[in-house]
Amino acid sequence: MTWLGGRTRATGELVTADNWNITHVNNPKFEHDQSYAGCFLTKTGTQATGLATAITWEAESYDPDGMHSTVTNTSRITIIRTGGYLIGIYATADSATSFYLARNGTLIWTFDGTHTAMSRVYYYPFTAGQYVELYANTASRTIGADTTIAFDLDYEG
Amino acid sequence: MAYVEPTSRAKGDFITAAIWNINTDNLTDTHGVLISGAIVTKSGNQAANSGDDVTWQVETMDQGGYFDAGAPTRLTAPATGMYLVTAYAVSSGATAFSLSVDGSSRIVYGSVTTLSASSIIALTAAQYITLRVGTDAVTIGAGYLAIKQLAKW
Repeated sequence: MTWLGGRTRATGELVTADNWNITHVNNPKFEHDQSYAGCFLTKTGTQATGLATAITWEAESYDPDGMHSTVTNTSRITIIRTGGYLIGIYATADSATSFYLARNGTLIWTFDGTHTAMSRVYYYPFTAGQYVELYANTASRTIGADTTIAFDLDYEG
Repeated sequence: MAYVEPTSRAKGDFITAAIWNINTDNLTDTHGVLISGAIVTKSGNQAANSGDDVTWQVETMDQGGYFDAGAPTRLTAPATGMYLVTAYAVSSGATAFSLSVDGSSRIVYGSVTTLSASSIIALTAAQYITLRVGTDAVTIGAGYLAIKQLAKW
């Protein structure tokens, strides 16, 4: 079935069985779910590194559910809904740098140290209340201002 | 837009236009109601130099009007939001591919002869992405570029 787009109904318009079934029954069968949570964060400046340096996120392109704060613990993304998440990372540095992703401060993935520009997308389960951070793990590097991180919930029920 | 829990309606409830519109809006805020995305692929070889964008000849799937054969290097975002982009390309020589937004390099991939990469990027409506070649005198022999809307805001 092709994508039909959203429809706005006029005041007083009757909702017929046909348009109810088409819009509210058939189309939703094609979606993953009806739950969503996510954020898209960016850096606004560069950041010097040491070992195990949590990258901070100063700007929120998108954070409707308050998964991130630009005031406190700005390196953290806090999971508000348990489920599987697509995680998109784009990180740049002035010289080859190792990165890792951590959950509640504990390493869950390491990315090799050969990159000055790294783009990765992963799928991983998280539980509500956990927080996620991206760490640089090579000393004396400068993380680029174009570094971003994105979270997108793919809720499995 | 923030996630809003669905409302259960009682038997006999009338569905007013307001309820209809709210429910429909909420549904379209999720990342899938309406699967919005496109996949385009190459057919034939393309001689390319540094700064050239890869051209796409076959529109394998396009829900949302991302691709226009009149601008065969581009996939254009129909709405502001977050997108998953996957790129695959085979080059005759090592090439530093990059993903460009409105003609400016945004995501830099390493120098490879076979690129297989995914990224999540933010785009505003009408911005377009292209896959850019970073080396002179190479031939791009195969590839595809795919985009899927994850969220819109």
